[in-house]
Amino acid sequence: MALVKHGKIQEDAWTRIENDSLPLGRPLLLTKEEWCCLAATLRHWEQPLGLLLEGSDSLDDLRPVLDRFRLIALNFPKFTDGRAYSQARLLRKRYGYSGELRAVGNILQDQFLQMHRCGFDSYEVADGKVAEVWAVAIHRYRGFYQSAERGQRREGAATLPVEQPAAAAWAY
Amino acid sequence: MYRYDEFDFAFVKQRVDEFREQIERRLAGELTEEQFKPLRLMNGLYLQLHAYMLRVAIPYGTLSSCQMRRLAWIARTYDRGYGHFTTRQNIQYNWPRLQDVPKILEALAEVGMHAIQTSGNCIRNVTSDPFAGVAADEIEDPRVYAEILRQWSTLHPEFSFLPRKFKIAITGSPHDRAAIRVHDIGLRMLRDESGAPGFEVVVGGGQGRTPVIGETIRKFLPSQHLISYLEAILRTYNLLGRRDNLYKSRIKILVKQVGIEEFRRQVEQEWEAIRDGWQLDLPDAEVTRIADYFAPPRYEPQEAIDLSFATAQRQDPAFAQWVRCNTFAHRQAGYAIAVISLKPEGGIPGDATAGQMERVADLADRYGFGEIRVTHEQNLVLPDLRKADLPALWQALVEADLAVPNVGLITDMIACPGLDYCNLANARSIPVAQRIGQRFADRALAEELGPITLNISGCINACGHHHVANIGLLGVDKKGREFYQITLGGRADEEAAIGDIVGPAFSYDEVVDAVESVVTTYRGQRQQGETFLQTYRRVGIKPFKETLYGTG
Ligand code: SF4
Repeated sequence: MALVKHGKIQEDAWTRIENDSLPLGRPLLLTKEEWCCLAATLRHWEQPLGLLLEGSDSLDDLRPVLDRFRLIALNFPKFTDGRAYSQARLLRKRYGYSGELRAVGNILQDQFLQMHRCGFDSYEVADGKVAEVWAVAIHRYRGFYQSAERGQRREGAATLPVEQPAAAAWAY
Repeated sequence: MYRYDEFDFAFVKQRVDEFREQIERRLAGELTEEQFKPLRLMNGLYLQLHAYMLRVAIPYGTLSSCQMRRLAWIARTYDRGYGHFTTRQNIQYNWPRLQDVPKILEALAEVGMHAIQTSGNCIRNVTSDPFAGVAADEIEDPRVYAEILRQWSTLHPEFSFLPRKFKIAITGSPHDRAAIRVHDIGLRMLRDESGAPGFEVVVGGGQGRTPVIGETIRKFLPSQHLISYLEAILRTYNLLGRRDNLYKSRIKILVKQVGIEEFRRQVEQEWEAIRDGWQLDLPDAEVTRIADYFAPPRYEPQEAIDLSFATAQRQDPAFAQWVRCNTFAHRQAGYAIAVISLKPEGGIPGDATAGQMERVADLADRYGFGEIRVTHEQNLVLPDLRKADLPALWQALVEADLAVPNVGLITDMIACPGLDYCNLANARSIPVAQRIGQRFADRALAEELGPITLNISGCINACGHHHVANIGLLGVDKKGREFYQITLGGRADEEAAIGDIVGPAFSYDEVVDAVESVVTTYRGQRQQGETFLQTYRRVGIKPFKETLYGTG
């Protein structure tokens, strides 16, 4: 596993609960269930906290506590399971979450752009080599047809006025 | 019609480049077929029984003559000289080679076309009324919003991996020629009491193995809110739709499962939250900019009634029949809409040769304003014809074998590719359509029967729309043999209904006789001036059962 963030391989500092013990001194990534059990215990926890969410996890009830998390990781059980795209947009736009948003699980490099546009910042991938294609993927399109977290909808005619069809390209 | 500007041209070009690289990675073994599959599907590329199939989008069924010529050129250069127009206003090429696909897509991009999202679990090519902008009964031109939706849905970052495919249809006329009630979302344009434009929004319709007539989720949505409302529906579906079972993952199943009231509540709640803050809806200036593309062409004002059109009909009964069956009322006096039937006797429904495509393009330039439409019944339309030109146009169509006068009649069948091409099929569709075409080849008889829709699907996926046909045929497998189940009374228009199963299925050899028996029963029961549907509604299924299976 490698962590790609802004097109670079990065060290993953986050740890998980293992064997029923809370690791001290490192940022801690919790599932929603763990968070629900431990919220009281962690009230004065000083290390950064993160949440690992599944597609079936509701977000509404997390709203009041979202600012406690520096990282939210959204899991893709399969790369064809697109729920996390909607979760990402809700977290960003509706719930105002501004911490790091990470895609984990089964993801393809061909999905970097749409993840980026939905508000993801980092990607846990099987092969670190794909870090190189991230920048290419992000910059492939000069503009988009709809607004999202990144890349707004183009407005207005691009260069060519309506009355004048693109003669060269149009009439071949 | 809409014309690509530099942005649009650049966008599809970038998409072609991206897909070319993906194909190269696939050929180099860097992508598995499992990984490649959703990527190629989102670019319209299927793997079929014998070869790849490329499905090219014809957005809301509108083509320029120039684009039609390019489709013909592709058919000739990369396929076997023909193309197949589908029930979703697309065209399919059945024999492209994988390595040629980027070249085909480049050729399409040059004329402002693409194959984006003609397949895959994403928002598919938006379909509409083939008479949009010219129909005499139209309230609003749906093409403006169809184009807005085409743009909005193209490479939508959030809705590209939905639980299942998602189809949107839009109409602007009270008479629904776009079958909006059997789509995931159907939009019907209307005006409220104050005259403001908006949409009735229908959700959860569909065919396939669980046919459902969609329900109205909102009676009136002001048109400026269209995109935010659709995002609310799509997001609700994306998060809640089932992903564990392919056959239960369409939005219709979700709506059934939670109930339309609860689904509406969730969508409206989401919409309230995003409507104002998310800035999804287009500013008026942008809507106007797109609407300007659809301004009516320069029609010649009618100064006198041209009698030559009436005279020609009197003199030539074949022309008169074609006019009766294949032309429709235009909103502009002195003009008509003509449908070019792609259902010749014994032909393959929806197939057109490269030569025919070029001929239609030439005729569109000569007699129309260079515009062509594709219908979901797999026919072509010339939308803007002077009535005075119809005799000459008809002559030219006769020469090109394109003048079959059967639009809306029993031989104007919809048939899916079936067992001849499709790896999911139980039975053949095309040869059955061909045999039915031969059985009802008598043009006077076919016209005398009045409007009858007859649709054939090779399996329960219902690509041939058999559920919503007056007479539907569904291919089923009985111990390795091809059988056909018959349904009666379905319809796809504003009173959409699912057909009733008439009884046990018929074998491949029996099915054409069975169809004839249905037609004979109708003729026996019919009262003066009744259509098939009217008779069926009045007498019910019983007399048909009796003649098909005997009494008892
Ligand atoms: S209905 Fe079945 S046989 Fe026909 S095209 Fe669809 S999947 Fe194939």
